[in-house]
Amino acid sequence: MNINSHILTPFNDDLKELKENLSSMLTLIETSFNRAEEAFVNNDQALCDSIIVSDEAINNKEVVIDNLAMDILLKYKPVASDLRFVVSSISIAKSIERLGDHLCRIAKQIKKLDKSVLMAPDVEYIKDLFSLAKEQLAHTKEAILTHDASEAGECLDGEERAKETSKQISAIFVNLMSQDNEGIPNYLSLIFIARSIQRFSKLCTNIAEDIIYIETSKPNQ
Amino acid sequence: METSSEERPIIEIDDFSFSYNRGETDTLKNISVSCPEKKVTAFIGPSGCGKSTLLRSLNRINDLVDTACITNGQIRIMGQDINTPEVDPIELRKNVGMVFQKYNPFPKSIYDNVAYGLNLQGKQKQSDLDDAVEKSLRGAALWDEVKDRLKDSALGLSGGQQQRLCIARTIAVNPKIILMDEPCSALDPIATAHVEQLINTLKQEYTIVIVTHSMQQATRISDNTAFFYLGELIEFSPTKELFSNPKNKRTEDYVSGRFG
Repeated sequence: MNINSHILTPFNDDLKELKENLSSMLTLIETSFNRAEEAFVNNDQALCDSIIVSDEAINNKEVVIDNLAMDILLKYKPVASDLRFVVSSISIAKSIERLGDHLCRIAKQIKKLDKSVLMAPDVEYIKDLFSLAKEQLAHTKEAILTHDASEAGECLDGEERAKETSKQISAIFVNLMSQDNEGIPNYLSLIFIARSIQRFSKLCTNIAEDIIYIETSKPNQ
Repeated sequence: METSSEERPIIEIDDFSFSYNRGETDTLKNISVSCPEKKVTAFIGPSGCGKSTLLRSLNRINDLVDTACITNGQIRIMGQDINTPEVDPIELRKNVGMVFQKYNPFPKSIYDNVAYGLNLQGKQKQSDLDDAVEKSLRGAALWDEVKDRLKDSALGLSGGQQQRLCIARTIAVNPKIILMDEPCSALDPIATAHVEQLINTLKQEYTIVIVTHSMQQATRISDNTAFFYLGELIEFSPTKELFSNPKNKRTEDYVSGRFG
């Protein structure tokens, strides 16, 4: 879609503003995600706190996007790809807000972790999961910026891979729990972190599907 | 021929071209489209695209233009080519009524306006005429508002009421098809809502073809929409599809306000 070609320039401006808000909301997520990844590797409590604090800004962005979308619907009554973009923006903002919630959950679990557990070789699986979700997030952001359905399509198979890895992680740490009673709280936190990243990955897929719908009108599966 | 569904077409426009200047230039170019029975078909497009010309070709009002001529194709209504010499335009218009942009009641009473077409068709028993007038006014959702003042001048009604009176006058002669040329363009939003509601009701009995400049109106009331540009039919689809996922870029550009 081309948001800059309407006869009515305020319509172009409002669509542009909507897109910029989606993009900047994703930038906030990107920042929090990178912090979460770093906080996990270094067991950095301060970074965890910053993720939790910045969630408010993410939530506020959702409200801004919802209001802007409502305003555009009311004023311009968009149709075709414009309508798909405006309506999907509401859904995308909701998904991004939930990405922020999952990052907060991850941060809270990292804070509970004992530093020693991060030395265990199996923790590498969680780092892999972080990398996978990071890749999906990057594709999603690029797809929003460039209106590129194929870029969004790159994100789709990540969900299955994340699910498999998360399952594997759960099996490993459940097994470790049976052997090491004292480590149970740590292993539980690691399982919760893995699940949150897996859900993060699923939400990235949902956003990618919304972008594909905007650009191609193919409905979400 | 463009057709949006499997429903039985009552109007079949087949490779139809039309000129206002004895064939020097075509205002309509090879239009093929079918309008299904008891559905609302909307014609949209920028001014001068030929949508009203096509509408007026459906009941041969264009015959009144001396230099107008059909340069190709045909229009069939209920299977009959309407432009053959044996078709009487007056008879045709009994089946194909028309409502215009500017409401145009006769300077007569409300009753006489509705009874006008029936009187033209020949003498009728007064009681039959009364029944027909009431039925038509009810059909046009106007009866409750005017039943106590049927002998008052039609010109004393509000704009919206006058337009509905014109619709009552049209349906009084029991046509199969009603053509509407921007019927709400001179009405306020409430009167427009009344007419749109009426169109929703009328389509149970009649086939309606409407020319409108309001995209929102087309999306609200029509089942199928045809988009015209420079005398050509660009796209004909179910309305929801045309406005949510147009196949043609020119359609998308027009409906989303991108036409330069």
